[in-house]
Amino acid sequence: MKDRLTDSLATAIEHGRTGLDARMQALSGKLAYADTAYALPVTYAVTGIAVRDADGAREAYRQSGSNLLVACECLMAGEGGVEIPYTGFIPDAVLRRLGYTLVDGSVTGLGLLVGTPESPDAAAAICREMQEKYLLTFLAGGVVEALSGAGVRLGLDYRLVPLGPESARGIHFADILARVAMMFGGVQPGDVHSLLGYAAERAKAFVIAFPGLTDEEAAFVDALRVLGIPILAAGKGYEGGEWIPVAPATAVRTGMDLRGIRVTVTAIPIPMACSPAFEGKSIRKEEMYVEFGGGRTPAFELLRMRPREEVKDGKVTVVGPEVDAVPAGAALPLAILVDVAGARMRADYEPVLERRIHTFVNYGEGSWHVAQRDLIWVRLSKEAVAKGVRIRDIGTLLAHKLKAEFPDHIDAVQVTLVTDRQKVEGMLSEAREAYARRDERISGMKDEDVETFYSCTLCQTFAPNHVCVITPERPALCGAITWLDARVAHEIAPAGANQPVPKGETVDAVCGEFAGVNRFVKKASHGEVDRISLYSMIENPMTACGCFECIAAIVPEVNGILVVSRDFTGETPLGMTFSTLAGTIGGGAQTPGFIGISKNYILSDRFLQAENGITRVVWMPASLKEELGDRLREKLAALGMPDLFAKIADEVSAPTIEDLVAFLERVDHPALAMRSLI
Amino acid sequence: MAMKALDIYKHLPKTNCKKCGYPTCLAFAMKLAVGKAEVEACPDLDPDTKSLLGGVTRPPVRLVTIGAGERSIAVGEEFVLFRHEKTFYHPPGIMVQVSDTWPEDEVRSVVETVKETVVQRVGQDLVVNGVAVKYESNRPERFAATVALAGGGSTLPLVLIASDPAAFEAGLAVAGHYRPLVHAATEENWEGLAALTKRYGCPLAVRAAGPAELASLAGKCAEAGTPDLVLDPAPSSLAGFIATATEIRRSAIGRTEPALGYPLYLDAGAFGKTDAALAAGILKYAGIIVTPPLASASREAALTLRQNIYTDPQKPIQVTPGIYPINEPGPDAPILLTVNFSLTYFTLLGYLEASRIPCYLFIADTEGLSVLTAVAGGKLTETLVADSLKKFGVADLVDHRLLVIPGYAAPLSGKIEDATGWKVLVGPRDAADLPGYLEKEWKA
Amino acid sequence: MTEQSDEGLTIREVRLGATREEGGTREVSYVIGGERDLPFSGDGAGRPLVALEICDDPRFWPPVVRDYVGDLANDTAEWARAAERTYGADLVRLNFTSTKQRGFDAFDAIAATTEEVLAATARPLIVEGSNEPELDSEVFRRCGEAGEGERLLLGTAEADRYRSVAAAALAYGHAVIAQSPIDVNLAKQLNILLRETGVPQDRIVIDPYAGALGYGFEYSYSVMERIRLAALSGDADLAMPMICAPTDTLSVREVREAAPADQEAMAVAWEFYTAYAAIVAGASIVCVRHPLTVERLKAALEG
Repeated sequence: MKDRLTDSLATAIEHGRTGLDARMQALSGKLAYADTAYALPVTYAVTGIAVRDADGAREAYRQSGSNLLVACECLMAGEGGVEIPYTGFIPDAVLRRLGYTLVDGSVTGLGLLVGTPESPDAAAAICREMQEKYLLTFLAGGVVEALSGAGVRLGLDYRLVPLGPESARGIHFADILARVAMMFGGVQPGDVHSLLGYAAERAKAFVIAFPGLTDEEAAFVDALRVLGIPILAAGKGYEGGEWIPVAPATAVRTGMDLRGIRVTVTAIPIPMACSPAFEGKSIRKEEMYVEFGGGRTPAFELLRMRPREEVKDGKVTVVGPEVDAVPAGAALPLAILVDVAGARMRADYEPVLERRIHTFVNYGEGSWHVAQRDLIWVRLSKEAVAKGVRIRDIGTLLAHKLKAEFPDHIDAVQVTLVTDRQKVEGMLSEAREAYARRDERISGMKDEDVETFYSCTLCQTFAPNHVCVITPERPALCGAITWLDARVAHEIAPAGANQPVPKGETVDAVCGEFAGVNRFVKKASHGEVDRISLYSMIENPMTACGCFECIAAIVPEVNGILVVSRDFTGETPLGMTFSTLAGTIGGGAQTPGFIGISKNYILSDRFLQAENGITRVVWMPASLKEELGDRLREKLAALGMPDLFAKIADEVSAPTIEDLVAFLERVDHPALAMRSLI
Repeated sequence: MAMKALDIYKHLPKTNCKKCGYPTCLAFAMKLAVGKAEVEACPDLDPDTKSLLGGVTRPPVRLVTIGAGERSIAVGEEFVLFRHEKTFYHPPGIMVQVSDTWPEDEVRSVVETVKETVVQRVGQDLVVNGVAVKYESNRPERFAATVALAGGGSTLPLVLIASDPAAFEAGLAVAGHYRPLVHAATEENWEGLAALTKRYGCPLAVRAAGPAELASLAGKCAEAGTPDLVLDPAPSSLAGFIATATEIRRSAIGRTEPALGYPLYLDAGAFGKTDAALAAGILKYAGIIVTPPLASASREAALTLRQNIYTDPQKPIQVTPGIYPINEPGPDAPILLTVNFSLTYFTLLGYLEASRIPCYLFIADTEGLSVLTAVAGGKLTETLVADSLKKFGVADLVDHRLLVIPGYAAPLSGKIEDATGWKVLVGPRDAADLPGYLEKEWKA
Repeated sequence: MTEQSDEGLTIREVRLGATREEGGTREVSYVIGGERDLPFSGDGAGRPLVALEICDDPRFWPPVVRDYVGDLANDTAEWARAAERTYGADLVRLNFTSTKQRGFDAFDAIAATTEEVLAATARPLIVEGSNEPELDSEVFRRCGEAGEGERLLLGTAEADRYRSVAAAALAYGHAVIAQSPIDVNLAKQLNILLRETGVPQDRIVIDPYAGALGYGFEYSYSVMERIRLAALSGDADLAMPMICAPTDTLSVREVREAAPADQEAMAVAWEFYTAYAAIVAGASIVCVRHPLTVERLKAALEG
């Protein structure tokens, strides 16, 4: 049974090919379309031959490797025109306008409907959906009459273009694509490679085939697949083969998903306003109707990547009581489970996207969110709940905002909100495992594990030649961007301020000098900086912009390094404050002996490894020492120097250089015995 | 190339004796590295080291002071070719030229205008700096009289332009003790002039066509004991001035020709297009610009351009924090919070003035940071807003308690409400949208 | 594909306008760009062009210009003709200020005005299309179509608003102005976006956004210098000619509040100093609104 069906489409296409072949051989006379500079456009684009007559057509057909689109076009050019309301071949002047709307984004994609629908109403619904999604739809075959019968208005103004009464007139869809590629895509006639590239990347198109195609028509429609156009079979008769069976109701969505066509939705259907303007509004206890987490109840949020088929886009499920089931002032448990799917989604992006939950919930007028992961605390205001806002609406808000902000990475989002205590508690351990896995992935990442670092040139506005190089073990010196963040930022905005930096050959493993990094920095610094070391402050240190969290500075008197953070306003033992130091080393210059760094870099294994790293640090402000606290102790213990923490001086134990010398001698700091830094 | 701080440090005594005025030798080295300290301040360096460090840390363009007293100007001491690389430090002195053939009243009127006209912009008083007296009468005593008419150097800095040694003698007898700039020593007359300016301790302009000729002449004059020089490249066209000035500045910065490390001189009246020459001189490295008397429009535009170009690009002009009434606001006018970054202020001011909506611009001290940076960097906080409201007495100006904050400050809205007790309205992110927002949303 | 080299680059040449031989109706076409060095370095690049701005709805135009041009302000085509023949502008920049009014829908007038101005002028034309993002699609299609073959310079593409301008340039063969807010990297990003849309690099003119003199102009000046230096040191994505159009120059306080007798002089001085400084920073086209500024700039650039 299955075999016979598989055979049927293939056989039909084979029959169709034979028929088209034969008609090509029999073709005679002059061939031309009116009002075009592109001869027979498909043939011209594929072969570079401007066909004028049947002999030329046969030659082009031969050269194209018996491409059926070429055959169909040549055959169609030999036939007469069509009656109004059909358009037939669309002249260049009209096409230029259509192409314009495609490039300028007012049309999101192209669709072709062929055959005769079993249900005119279902076909009408498809057309309505295509209009709503800003698709430009071409129609050929019985579908045109069916739609007219169902009362659908056709014409360019309605973005529904009836090409002709026979499905074979659908060939004009191909000549439209070919001409758009030549007019707008710079595709040269005869350059099949770039034609295919343009059709696949830019002209996002799909075909919906209703039943009733002849063998020849089926063969022609099938031939569109070489342009990367999926054929969706909406009805019986095309089972098996490469056509994708769809129910009419899901046809448009499937086509859009397959081609990555997206429509930006601006209005979110929830009874609350949603805007960055509300981000900072807090909800006080007395204004609060219900709260989740914050210590009163268990609560967490978790965003997970899922296979596409497991995510029903836009679906929001609430498990457990809704907010109107509890009295004002109550607390409910909460699990916010966000499942996302997307062809270009990666598990690495999970934490970055999850962090956006905080921002988006705060965008709601009357919803409030703090902290992250299993520490979240969410409130809905009395005012909002009175207006009809429910916890379900938070799900809708998240689903919409995530898709709108990350259109290239998220194709579908579904949100589950659990307010049932037992269930939330049951899921907590799974969530914590996921957090732990992620932490491990980031913290376990080593510079030698990757081939590509990332740059950040955001600060070039103020520091014209500054280039930050971000590695897994060396976050941006502002502390705000990790290697993963930079990678995601690059994926989301490929032309943006975070660019991939191929490491290239290692020049000096200890100093962290790489040939690829040097090449990149030279270019991105406009030729000002030739070499940088990622792990050294003496040899070609990285430039500093002005946003660094801390400054590491050499203290030559004690052969050590001090680290001072921005919040420390007093003088360092060097006799300079943070801001004096910052003023001297900032602006994008390389200053050996001084670098801007992030706080987290202090704890990295790569921290100034060329200068013996953390063991060389002799002074930090007390506030920084306290902030790094346990993590720094742990780090030192792992190095076998648990007592080093106490040997690092601060502004109390060593306010001046003289005090520092005395202090370090008293505690016998290891830096005193190390090789000289200068 | 200049030497880095750490390399300089290696040559210092490393005693942290503090006699230079800095707490450590490294701190001193860092100041030397950016040309902000003098090697001479260290008492313990041997002459060789001093000269070595002096050569690499001395400002590549010499600071030359012209005039004496309050209106005296210092030009030069520049470190970069393009202002975005760091900043330009010393705006060129603009000197209005008078002739000793002019009637007294005319000279007096020009001098009065230079003395009295002040353009106030963004908290700075902008002035045309001084007067250049040109010797055209062929009568040294008349030249001296005109120099005296121009204040003799005691009020305004002067440039004495002549070619006759007798004229210089006469002019300097009047003004010589007020450091006038003497213009100009040439290949022919430099010996006499150098001796004369050495006697009075005056700065001297040297004039020659082309960098090589200038370098040689400047070298000779410096050798003869006049260290304060100004270079006049005697350009034949304005485009020629820009090209030569760029070349000279580049050599000076690169320290390839120390004898070119002096401020430049431009005669803006030489090409029959004074405005263009003034602009070119301001933009491209002139230290002293001599100009015919200016109409008020040209003067204001030129002074504004000079202020713009000599603003530190890494430390933008800050507007004085406070409350600024716009379009005559009443007690029901909106209070619009913003930051004291000048560009933000000017942009807002432009849109608000054009909108004719009465309002108060309420400027908090974010140390010149823009809204976005100030919010991100924690400079714009609810505490700052609350303190500033009190400090500027905002509550007394209006009969409402509504505060419009910038869109980018939205994350602070709740905290500001808590800290101030005022109701916060979040305005748009873009200044251009503010008038529209106020028209739609503002109801006191 | 970023095409970059370590060698110094030449700024790309961009052709504006099309003569009959080039498929248009202009008496001349201009080629801007081609510099290999900083401005005034004697590298033989052409003289910068001075454009006079006009508009189709003078209600949105500075009073000081309206007072000067009088009735011309109500006849866009005549105003354009005078710009070239009487005031000596190298080219005209036509601003569709009519799109600023609420509920604008006179799209046919956009096409008609473009055609009339083209008929009234003999030199290349800059067209500044819609002021409202919602109108972009229709406005740029109309003016693009009306100017087909004439190689207009169409403005303005911005990072979140470039598709319609790009589409019009592609469909009807025009060049585009790419404007970014005073930032080298944003200028570069926009050029990359335009390239990805299919706009050839030799049809892009960078507008780094110009603040008025005294109102942030120093930022614009420096960013222009930086763009030019980056291009000359090998960044092909920035190696395009630049245009400077400080649109707020005649609305600043100094001009608005000048004594009536001084207002015209102040307007011209303010425009002149801004435009001349932009040329020193590397602009190939400077746009001004007061006819007297055109004359002053051209005189300054002679010789």
